[in-house]
Amino acid sequence: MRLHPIGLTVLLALTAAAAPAAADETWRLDAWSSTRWLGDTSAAILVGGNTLGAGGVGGARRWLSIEPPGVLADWLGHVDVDSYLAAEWGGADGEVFAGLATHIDHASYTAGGQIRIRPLSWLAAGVRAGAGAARTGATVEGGGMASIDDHRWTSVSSTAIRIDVAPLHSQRFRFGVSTELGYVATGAVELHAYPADRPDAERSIPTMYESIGHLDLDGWQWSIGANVAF
Amino acid sequence: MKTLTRIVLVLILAALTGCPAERPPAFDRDRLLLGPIPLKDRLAWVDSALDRVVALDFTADRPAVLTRDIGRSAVYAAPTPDRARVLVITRGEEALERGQVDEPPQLWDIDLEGGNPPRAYQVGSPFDRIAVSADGSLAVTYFSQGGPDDHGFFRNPNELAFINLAQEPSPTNPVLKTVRSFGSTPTGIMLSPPMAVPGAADAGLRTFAFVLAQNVVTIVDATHPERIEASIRLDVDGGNVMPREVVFAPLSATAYLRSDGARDVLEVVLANDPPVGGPLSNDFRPVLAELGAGSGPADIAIFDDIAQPDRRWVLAATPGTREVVVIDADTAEFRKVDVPDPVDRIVLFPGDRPTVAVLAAIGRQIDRVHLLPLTRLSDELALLDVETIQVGQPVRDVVPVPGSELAMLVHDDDRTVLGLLDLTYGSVSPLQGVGRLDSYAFTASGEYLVGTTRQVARVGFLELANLHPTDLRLDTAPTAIFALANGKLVADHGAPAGHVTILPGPGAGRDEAQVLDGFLLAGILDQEP
Repeated sequence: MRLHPIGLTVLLALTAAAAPAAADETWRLDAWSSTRWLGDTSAAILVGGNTLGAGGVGGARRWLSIEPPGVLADWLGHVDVDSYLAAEWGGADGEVFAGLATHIDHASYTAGGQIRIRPLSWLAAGVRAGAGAARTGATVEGGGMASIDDHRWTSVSSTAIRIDVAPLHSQRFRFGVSTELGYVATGAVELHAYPADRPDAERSIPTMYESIGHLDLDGWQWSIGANVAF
Repeated sequence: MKTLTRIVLVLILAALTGCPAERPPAFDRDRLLLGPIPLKDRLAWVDSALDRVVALDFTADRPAVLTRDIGRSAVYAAPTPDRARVLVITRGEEALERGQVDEPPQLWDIDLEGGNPPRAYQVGSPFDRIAVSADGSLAVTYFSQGGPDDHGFFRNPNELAFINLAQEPSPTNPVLKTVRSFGSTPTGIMLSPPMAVPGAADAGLRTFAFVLAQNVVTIVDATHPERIEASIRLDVDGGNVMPREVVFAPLSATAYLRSDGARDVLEVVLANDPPVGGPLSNDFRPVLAELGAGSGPADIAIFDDIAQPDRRWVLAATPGTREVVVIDADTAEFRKVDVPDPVDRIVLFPGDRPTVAVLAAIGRQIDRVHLLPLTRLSDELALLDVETIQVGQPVRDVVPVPGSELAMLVHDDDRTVLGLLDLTYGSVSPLQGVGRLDSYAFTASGEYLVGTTRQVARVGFLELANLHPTDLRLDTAPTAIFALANGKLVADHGAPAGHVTILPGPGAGRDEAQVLDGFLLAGILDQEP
């Protein structure tokens, strides 16, 4: 699913303009490190069994915080409804044909929503879903040839469950760590054998670059991170 | 909490069951790229990791990429003489790990022109050399001098496989045969043009395989490989004799053999010898005659007399006596022509109906060549003499220019200094290049010499009519240049991903050229696991 730029702008505007709900904290900033087990053969061809490592930052805003009625409040605590923006960058290295070094490059920019429960003051858990745009690229080099380097933009969507633990927290501030497990689906991109140092088209012989196929970076992803909320 | 716990458990279970993808084993293999193999209007590469032949078809304005799947572990490839097909030997493999398959050694016949599906012939052993008959209908696979690799329990370096490429694979095609050995192993195989054995009950044209080995030549009727071979011992006088070269006179079922360590040229006539020992007996016997070269011949050439086409001559260069021996192939009578230098190279011009022989002493690097007229050989009273031409630089190689009276002289090991010998006038035009001429070709029309050097991103052209040099700048340095039958020129840049520059012809400019990049990795990400 591709998030239209206008939709992204609207979401950002809503995030900034809306009034905070009555709750302890309104904003949360996250930083994390993640590992993705690439599930498509195209990715495995490039990097074998290696995982895609990434790091990211994001921010979330709480829109709604409700206290379930009756006994549910004892079990679930507060139920929060948040929106978030996230950016993630990562890559994976590999080798093909015992001599050509390969690298996958990935960056994603997503927005979405999440629902969290806070059964304890230091513990929260939730589910989230989001979508956005991703830049997927690959390089192949070695063997005395000019490096192949190409990238494309595509759509990305993800869903995950999340657990937050906040060892340091007060009424208006909390510092915590989190872990997420989810699935990331990216659109396959067709890559071509473009050289890393592509000659100036005006001064070079007209060149046709063959397609090396479609690269898909779908996979399960696990991340750990830290966050502050205020 | 229970709901959340269940979600967590479901996700963990799903993650555990959704294992990362495994990649096809091809991408973990060492990759041996065989090629480019020049064909008529195509170039082909054999990829031993991806088990496929990749060909570029230059018949249209835009090159097309063709791929043909073959067996595992390609080890050797050769084009057929008509340059329409590629023959590939695949080693096969044993299924010891994931993704491997049990596959025997095979010879693949890949038709890149006619569109016929690839044919695989089970050749039984992992041969690494191919000899193909001139008409492309027969192939013989054999082991190189290194012998079989270290796989396998028993290894037989004298084994051959005879494949009838005109027939489908069958239990009787190929035919495996071990040639009679006297302690040596084959060093090469020469296949004759189709020829008939005079007087034989089987009057059909047949191909004969001459299997060369130290001190012995074995002749096999390759059209009927199941029949018993004939062996010729070359060391009857003692000493070591290494057969090097065979030239054929198919109309008389004759072969002429030059050997290192032998004094004379050996004439081998295949004569009728009716079979007496059952169906596996052959119907010929080799009749031998030593043609009196008188000293160890270093090069031989055979040609038909231009005035009397039914008369055949053999020229033998004997550097030990500084002579060229002219031998009447029918009568074995010979005449000796004194040459000032120890000639070891004979090149005939023109190639189809020669009128002059260029004689050069390549081994001694002497700065002159000699011309021997061939038009008056049949005149027994004519004085045979050579005309000496000083060329100013040591001669390291003589290369005939197709379809012309020109010969390219190479003056140094690095091929940086060349000369063009005009046989009509006996003149030599020196040529100097920017570097080593690593690769060169003559265009299909014979009008241009094109060359490249690895360090310079240019293609050089020499118009042979007036020796006018021009060049074209490329974007990257080439490793080889190929002149195709349709007039196009293709510079290969030697990249593992595939990178060629295509020129429509020698006079083309950069705006008419095309570069194709990445064709050897085309579609690799779309491969099925």
